[in-house]
Amino acid sequence: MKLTRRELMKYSAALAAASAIGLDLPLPRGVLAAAGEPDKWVKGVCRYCGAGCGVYTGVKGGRVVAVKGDKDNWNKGFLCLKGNFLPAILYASDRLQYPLLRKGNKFVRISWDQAMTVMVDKFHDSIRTNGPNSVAFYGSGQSYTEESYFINKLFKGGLGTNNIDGNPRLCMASAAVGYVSTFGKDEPMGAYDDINHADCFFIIGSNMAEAHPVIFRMLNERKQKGKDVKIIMADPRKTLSARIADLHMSFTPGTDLAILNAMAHVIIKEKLHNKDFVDKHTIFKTMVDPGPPPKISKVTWDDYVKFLEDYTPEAAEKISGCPASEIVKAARWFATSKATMSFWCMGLNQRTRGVWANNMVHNLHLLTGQICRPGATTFSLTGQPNACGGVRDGGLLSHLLPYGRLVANEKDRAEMEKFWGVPAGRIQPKPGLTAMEMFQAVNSGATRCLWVACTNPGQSLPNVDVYRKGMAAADSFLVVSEAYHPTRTSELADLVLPAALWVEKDGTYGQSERRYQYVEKAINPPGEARPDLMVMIDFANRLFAAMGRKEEAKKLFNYKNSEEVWNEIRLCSKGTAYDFMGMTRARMKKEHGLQWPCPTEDHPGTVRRYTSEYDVLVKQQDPKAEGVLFYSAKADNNRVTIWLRPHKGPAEPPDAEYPFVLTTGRQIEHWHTGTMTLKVPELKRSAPDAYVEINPRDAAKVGVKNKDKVKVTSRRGSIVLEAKVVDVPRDGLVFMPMHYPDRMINSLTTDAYDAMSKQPEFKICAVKIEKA
Amino acid sequence: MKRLLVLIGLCLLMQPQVVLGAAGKHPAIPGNQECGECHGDQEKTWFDGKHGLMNVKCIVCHGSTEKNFTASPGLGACRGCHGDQVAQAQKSKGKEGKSCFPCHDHHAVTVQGGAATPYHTQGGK
Repeated sequence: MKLTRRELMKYSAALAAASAIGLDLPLPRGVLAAAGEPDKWVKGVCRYCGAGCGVYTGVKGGRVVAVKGDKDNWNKGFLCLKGNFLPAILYASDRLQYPLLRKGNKFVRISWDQAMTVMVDKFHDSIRTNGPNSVAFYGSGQSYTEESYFINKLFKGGLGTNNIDGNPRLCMASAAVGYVSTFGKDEPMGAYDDINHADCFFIIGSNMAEAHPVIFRMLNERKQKGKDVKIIMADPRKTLSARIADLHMSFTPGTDLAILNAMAHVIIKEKLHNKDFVDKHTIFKTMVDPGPPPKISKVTWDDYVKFLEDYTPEAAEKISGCPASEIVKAARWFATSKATMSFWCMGLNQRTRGVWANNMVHNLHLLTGQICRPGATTFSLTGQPNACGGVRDGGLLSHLLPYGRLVANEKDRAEMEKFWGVPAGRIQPKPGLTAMEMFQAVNSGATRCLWVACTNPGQSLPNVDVYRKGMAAADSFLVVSEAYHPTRTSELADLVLPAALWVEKDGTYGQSERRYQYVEKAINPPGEARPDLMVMIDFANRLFAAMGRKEEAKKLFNYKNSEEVWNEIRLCSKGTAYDFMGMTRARMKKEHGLQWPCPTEDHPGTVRRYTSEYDVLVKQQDPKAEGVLFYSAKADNNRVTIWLRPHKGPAEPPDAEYPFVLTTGRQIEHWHTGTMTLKVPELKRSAPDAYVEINPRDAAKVGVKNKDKVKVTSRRGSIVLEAKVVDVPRDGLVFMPMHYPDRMINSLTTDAYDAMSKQPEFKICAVKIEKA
Repeated sequence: MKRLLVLIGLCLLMQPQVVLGAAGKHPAIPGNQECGECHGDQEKTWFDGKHGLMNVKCIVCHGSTEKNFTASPGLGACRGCHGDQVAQAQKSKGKEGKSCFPCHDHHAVTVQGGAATPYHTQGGK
């Protein structure tokens, strides 16, 4: 698009005039490009996925007009398709600018003072009448760390309820419990830099090319530049990621546990395991009784070998449909490469056996010693920009306390009570409601007041129609803090609070490789929208005043800005495995992210944990230690666990009535429930609607052609969408993207969840298909 | 009243030709029509190239097919991932100061002529 200088001036004048009266005009990309150099570039992080790409936002006249990748950050200046269009999310026409209160079937504009008064009255009344467990908070892996830390302190330390959970329960809980049950502590030990050193990549349950494109770019670069680099992709769909694979292992959805055990079988049978590493650093355990509480038993190497006897590649082929020869090949490549790196994402996590699947990937690394060296690591990819930093690390899950501490651990509770300055016994010893339990409690009326911030459960929960009823019920009070309205959640709310978005506020994000990054405020939020942190502080002080605890509130919630909260967070992490003491706000403003542990201001951050070469905490734990020390597994004498986990299929396998498997996932254009990306005209043009992806053989069986309307029905609901006939999913599998608010695919998905992580099985349910 | 006057002013300022540019209009197409259905050759060239492998799709350079469409992308379209190179080109008064495509093939996005030129490695000289 070509604009003359005069035209550009006219457009700029129009924008300024529109802004002055509270209107937001769309910013055509040509205008953005033609607008010339921004007045300033402000350093930050992308708003979307957990890759955590460094970005600069270009600001001109108080508006974000451009974005560019941070070349000094890990992403080397690259952004993905979505990242390129970030400015437009700020100027969507449905940005919420004022608090809204439900009056019957309508919303009316109210002041912030009125909004806070209504909210405090409702929460106070519920706590006074029914106790603190009658209120709950459902947070997000997109809130800043300071926001998540503060609200956790208010609920667990202030109100004395653990009914606070976050949407990472839907995406990362199995990974978190997987790391904790194997290694003793959460989070990957490695980094994206390991991609530059690995010779073999084992990628299972991840479509990196679309879900984490900039990490995929790094992987491709390694493939192009490295010598004899092997990439194994295990996925029932042959996605765009498989374009660079040397081996694509397709299998019946839900049978990958058999494949992972068969790979371990091959490794041991062919003596490709690392006996020294296993002897020195591991122990073996099995679950005798799932409980609750689960009964765990320690076993031996011989028991493990015997356990794996049944998992021959041929037996796994019978279960999974994946050829035995491919399983053998993958096992050999995995074990014999100089350095093997595994990646996985929702394909393993969103499963009723998600934790087991995570344990089994870790097993392969421990068995072969492919860990704690450059390129050798086991790495969970993350879906949200602060799922790791704010929720997993910060403890915004109902069973956690900040920085590796547990609600159920008496010492951890006492430590946090002392740190927060609240009376002993304030933190309840019983974990609170997890996400699905929380919405079940809303349905039953046990949870009377629910505050949802920065997430969209009215669209994203599995079996969503069941839970929408509870959220909409007249006897529950639902508060939604949102940047946009209406969303499929805010439309159900009693009170909607307008939220500042992304660079309209400042705060800290922590991404997948333990890298913490500061997002600087670049512009003001629209209308009366406020940063969630400021709303939380205001609410906490007003609620405590109403409860007659004003003096306590002055002590607990006395923050002026996010930096004051961040400084408390640093102290809270001091001496833990997370240690952020070296990450001062001043330093974070200059650096392009720092990886924890980072205990002192002169510490460069830790690329790889649990090895003396890179991790300063190893020597702190044992001054004589050389090489690998899993100090995270103190309870087992620094030995990590190889688990004996049997194969078990999904909760709802296909049958005669519902013969297809439905799996859900992402497109590169969109992110989560589309509240941001579907407002970007270019992204919406490129991916305008949901569809049913089906392969040509299955399409022929049900008599469907490309672009025909197809009705997909599960035991919970049905939907009519256009068919996309492509040879991507294997036989018997169909795929639907998850992003579209007017296409509620979660009406079909199952809410069965993993007994350990409480993460639902979005990835597998049974459906039938017919031409509509 | 003030709001009304401003809105009238906006309508005058926002005439279609201002927003769209003279040569930028894309024909209206159905929502589910993909670029490759009409631009198959270009899509194949793109798909087989680096940008195709990395899913840097048509919209990054060309925008949507509606108000934001451009047939001839300017430098700004490439800045998201190639900020330094764009900054170098912006200093030029030559053809490379307006667009990346005098030097780079349109859809393969290789360097024309095949070999790497010293332009960017020499800091845009």
